Amino acid sequence: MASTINATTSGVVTTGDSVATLSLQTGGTTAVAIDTAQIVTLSKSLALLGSTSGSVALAAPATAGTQSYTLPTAQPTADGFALTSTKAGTMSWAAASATPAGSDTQVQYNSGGTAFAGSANLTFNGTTLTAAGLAGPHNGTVGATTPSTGSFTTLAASSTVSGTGFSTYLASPPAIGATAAAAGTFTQGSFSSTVHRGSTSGTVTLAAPATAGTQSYTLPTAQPTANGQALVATTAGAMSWTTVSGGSPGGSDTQVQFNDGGSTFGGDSGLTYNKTTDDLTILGNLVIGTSGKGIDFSATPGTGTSELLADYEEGTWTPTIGAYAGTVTTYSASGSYVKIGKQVFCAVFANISNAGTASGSYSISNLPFAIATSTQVYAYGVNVATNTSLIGNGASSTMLYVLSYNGTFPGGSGTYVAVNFNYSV
Amino acid sequence: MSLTKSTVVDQITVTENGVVLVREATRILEDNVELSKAYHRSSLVPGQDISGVPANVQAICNAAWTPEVVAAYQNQVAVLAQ
Repeated sequence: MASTINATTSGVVTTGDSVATLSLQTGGTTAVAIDTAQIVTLSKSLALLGSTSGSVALAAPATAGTQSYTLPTAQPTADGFALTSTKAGTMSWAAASATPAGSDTQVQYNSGGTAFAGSANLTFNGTTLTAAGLAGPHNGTVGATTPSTGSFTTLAASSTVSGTGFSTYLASPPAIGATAAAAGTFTQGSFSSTVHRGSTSGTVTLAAPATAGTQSYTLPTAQPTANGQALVATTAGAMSWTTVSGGSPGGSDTQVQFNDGGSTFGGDSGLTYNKTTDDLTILGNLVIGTSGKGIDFSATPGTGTSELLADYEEGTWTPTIGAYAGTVTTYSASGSYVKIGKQVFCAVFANISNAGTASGSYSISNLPFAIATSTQVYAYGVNVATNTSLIGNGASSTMLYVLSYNGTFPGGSGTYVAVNFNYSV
Repeated sequence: MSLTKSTVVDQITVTENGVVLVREATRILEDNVELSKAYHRSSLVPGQDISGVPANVQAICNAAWTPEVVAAYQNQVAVLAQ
């Protein structure tokens, strides 16, 4: 059926009673329904045609449920406002986006639950995130290579600091328990000292020396294989456990110990000490290494100007034979000496084959040591050729005269002079 | 095995009055290890002829024997001879 609404019918379509719903159907399906509460229901969407072309459709979602939206009571107060809604569907106009708080680069955070806020203590410039107030042992810029200024946060005793690269990248670590910044740059694994707490009390501190240089020690890979082993190190600092050498004496009982080869104790039968008799026995020589040093007898009975025996020497010397008057033409002579301390004992044998013009007495010079006091030298000997006793006395610091016991000339050519004398130096 | 003998002046002493005491050491060495050593001594008085003595001894004598030292020694001997 087709109905035409015109000016005559005034375009009014009415239901037959007060409870009927007015429906408009197309293709056998209700497209528009108007109930007695004057609520209009569209089965699909509402298309609004443009004034010249096109249309705008308002449509419910496919699974719409039962929703109700109430439009604002007025138009937006500013351009660009968005339509917002309460959970009950009451809609209103509101600004489409919020304005950032704070200043340029400041990271935004929820301040008070409903508002944005920014702070100079937390910024991001597109590359680096900078935080001035990180909670933890250090303030500073993460990844920075130089220390920052400001106060440090002290860790509580129960605090735990962890994280990959922590020791590498945080600058200027304080000492454990410190409340102020430590100087210097923190490098991986470097501490001036470490403190290890005992399980019940006390601490053990491992510390580098004040002038440490650059040293590295590598601990052994295993525990000692025996009790009492000591930690030793190579010059490169590689440490290992070793049985302490030198802990036991070298050699046999009573042998005096000496450094044998630079690193071990040694003993030898050539040097022994008897603790009962206090005898020190040396099979080799006792070598006095410093001039003026020797054997000190001051603890023995008696006293003297000196009780230090500081010299002993024996050897030969070549006597020079002359005469008190005239000269000896031909002779041969030999001499020997022994010096004990300051006393010199000399022996001379001279064969005067040609006495020449010698007279008075023979002189013996070229002594091995100078005579301290020439007037205190006395010689005794014999003319072997005649078996005549000879005497002599000092004439100078290196010469003495020899003559017969009766004060005469010992003899001319063919005289054999054998003389002994001693003197102090 | 090699045996070597060396003689060196190993000690030179100058006394207060200028007498120079010389000690020669003669060493017998086997492969540079000393087997024995003997000393031979002599004395040189100020002003005496030192030709023929080792150069190092001459140097000491020439340094020690100033004209004053030689004169003093000769005077000392003359006094003792009286």
